[in-house]
Amino acid sequence: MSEILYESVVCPSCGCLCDDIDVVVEENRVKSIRNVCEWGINKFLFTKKFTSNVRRGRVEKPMIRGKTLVETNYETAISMAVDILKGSKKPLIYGLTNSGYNAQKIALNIARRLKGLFEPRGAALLSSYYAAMGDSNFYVAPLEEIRNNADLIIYWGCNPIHSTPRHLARYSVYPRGRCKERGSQDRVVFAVDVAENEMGKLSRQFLQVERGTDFLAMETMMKLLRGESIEDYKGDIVSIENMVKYMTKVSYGAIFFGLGLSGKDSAKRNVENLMALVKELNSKTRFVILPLYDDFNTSGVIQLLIRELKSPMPADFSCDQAVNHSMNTLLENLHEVDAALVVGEDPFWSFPSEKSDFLKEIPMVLIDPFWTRTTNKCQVVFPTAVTGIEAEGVAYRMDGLPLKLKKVLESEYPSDESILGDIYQRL
Amino acid sequence: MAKLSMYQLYQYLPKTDCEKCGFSCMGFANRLISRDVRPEDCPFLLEPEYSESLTELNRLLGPEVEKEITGLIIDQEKCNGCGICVTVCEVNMEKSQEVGSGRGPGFSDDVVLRIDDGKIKLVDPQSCRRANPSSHICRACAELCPTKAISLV
Repeated sequence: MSEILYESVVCPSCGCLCDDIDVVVEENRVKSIRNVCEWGINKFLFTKKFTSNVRRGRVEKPMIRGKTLVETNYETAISMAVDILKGSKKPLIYGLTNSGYNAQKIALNIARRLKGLFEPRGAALLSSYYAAMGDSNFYVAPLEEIRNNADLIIYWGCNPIHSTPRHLARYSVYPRGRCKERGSQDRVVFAVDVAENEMGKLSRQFLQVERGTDFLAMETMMKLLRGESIEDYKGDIVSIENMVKYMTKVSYGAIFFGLGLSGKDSAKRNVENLMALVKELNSKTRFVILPLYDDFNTSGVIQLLIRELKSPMPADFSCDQAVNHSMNTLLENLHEVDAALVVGEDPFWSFPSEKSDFLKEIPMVLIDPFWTRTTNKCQVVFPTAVTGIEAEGVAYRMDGLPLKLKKVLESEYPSDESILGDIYQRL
Repeated sequence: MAKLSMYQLYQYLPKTDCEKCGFSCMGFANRLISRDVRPEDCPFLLEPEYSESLTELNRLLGPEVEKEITGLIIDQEKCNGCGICVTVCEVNMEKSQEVGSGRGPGFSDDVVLRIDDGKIKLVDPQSCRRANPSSHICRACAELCPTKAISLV
C-alpha cells in the first residue's frame, strides 16, 4: 500500500480557491487532508455539505429515459443528447459554475452554434456587479493586497463563516499583512445582514436591515457622505452614522457582498447603489469591492463572458446579440426555451417550484457527478468526474486570479469538458 | 460550552468546608470548572437531600469531556475548519512564518494547532503557551473562534 502526498492542491469548493491543501491518497482514496475547511472536506470525500458522514450518491452510468431512466452506453447517450439539442429551436445552457474554464468555453460555443440562451448560475447579481463596474472605475484588488493593506472589512449580505469558511483567516480579517503586522488587532470588521448571525459577534458594528431594503441603507450612507438630510430613513440610523464616520477615516477599506443582495426585485438596485457608495467613498479614501462566490468557478464564467462577448450579461444568441437577462427575466421567459443542457447544477432545488415545474415539460440533458433532484426529471444523464479532484481544469478566484486545479484521484468517468466537447463536435 | 463562574457552582455545594474531598467548597468549585474533579467526588452531594444540586451541577458542567493538558476542549461538532485559531496562534507563527499570513502550515511543519480532515486538532500540546507555567495565559484561539468550538478551562 503506497501513499501519495499531493502538496499545495487547490480546493474546488468555494470562490476562495485555497491553494495550500495537502492531500494524502492511498489506493485511489483520500486518506487524510490538511488545511481544508469543513466544506472543502465534504467536496473531497464526496459527502453532503457540512455533514461529512452522509455520502452523496454518484451517477454511475450514462442514462436515457424510456419510461424510466435506464442505463446505456456513452455513445447512445451522446447521440440522444445531440438529437435533443439539434431538434430544439432555443435551448437553455444553464449552470457551469462548478466546471473548469475550458468546459465553460465549450458550453458557450454550443450555445452560440445552437442559437440558444447561455445563463450561468447566480448571474442576476454578479452580472449587475460587473456591468456597474464597467460604468465606473475599477474598484478591485487582489485578495493579497487586501490582506496587506485593508484596515476596514465590510461583509454585506453574506456570512463568510458558512459560505467561504477560510476567507476570514486567509485573506481578510485575521492574517498578518505587510502593513498590518498585528492582524485582526489592526483591522475593524462591519457586517450588514437581515438577521443577526455569527458575524455580529466578530464585528465592531452590526447593522440589521429589513429584508429587501439594503439599497435604502446604502442610499442613506451616500446621503450622509454628501452631508444631506437622512430623516426619511426608518432603520437603525445610529449604526449607519457610526459606520459612515469610521469609513471616511480609514486609509483602505474592502467591501465583500454576497447572495443576500440578490433579492427578487432588488438585486440590480442593490448592486448599483453599492457601487455608487464605493465610488463616493473613493473620493475621500481608498475602497475596493468584491463579491463572495459560493461556487468555485463563478468568476471564471463571468470572465469568459466579458472576454468573448464584451459583456458580463447572460447571452441570448437567438437574436444574434448578448442581451440583458436578469434572473427574473430568465424565469419569466422560461417558456421561450424548448430544451435544456444543465451542467453541474440542480435547478429543481434552486428555482421556485412554479418555474421548475415548467422544466419538467421540456427535454433536459444533465451533466453532473451526483444524484440530485434534477436527475430523475432528465431525458439524458451523464456521469462525470469532479473537476479539481478527478479531473484537471482552470478556475478563477473571486478576485479574477486564474489557478490550475490538480487531479488527485483517478476516475473512470469522463470530465465534463470531454463530454461537452463530444456534444459540440457532433452538432 | 457556557462560561461558568466559581460562585455559580458554589451555591449548589454543601458549603460545609469539610475537606473530605481534599479542598474547601470554594476550592472544589474551582476544580469543577477546570474539570479536575466531578460533582460525584463530594460525598455530601451523593446524599438524597442534595440530589437536585447534583443534577443541576451535572447539567451545568455537561458530560465528561476529554481535556488537553493546556485545558483546551474542542467541540468537533461545532468546528467548521475556518482556521482562524491556526492563524492567530502566536506559537504557530513562530514555528512557521507563513501561518501568520493566513496560509495553512506545510505538511512537515511542526505546529501547535492545525486543521486535520476539516476539524481543528491540537497536535503539539507541550508547545502551547498555556502548557508552560512561566508563560502568560493565552486565550487567543478560544476568544476568536466564531463558532465557539474551542473552550478553555
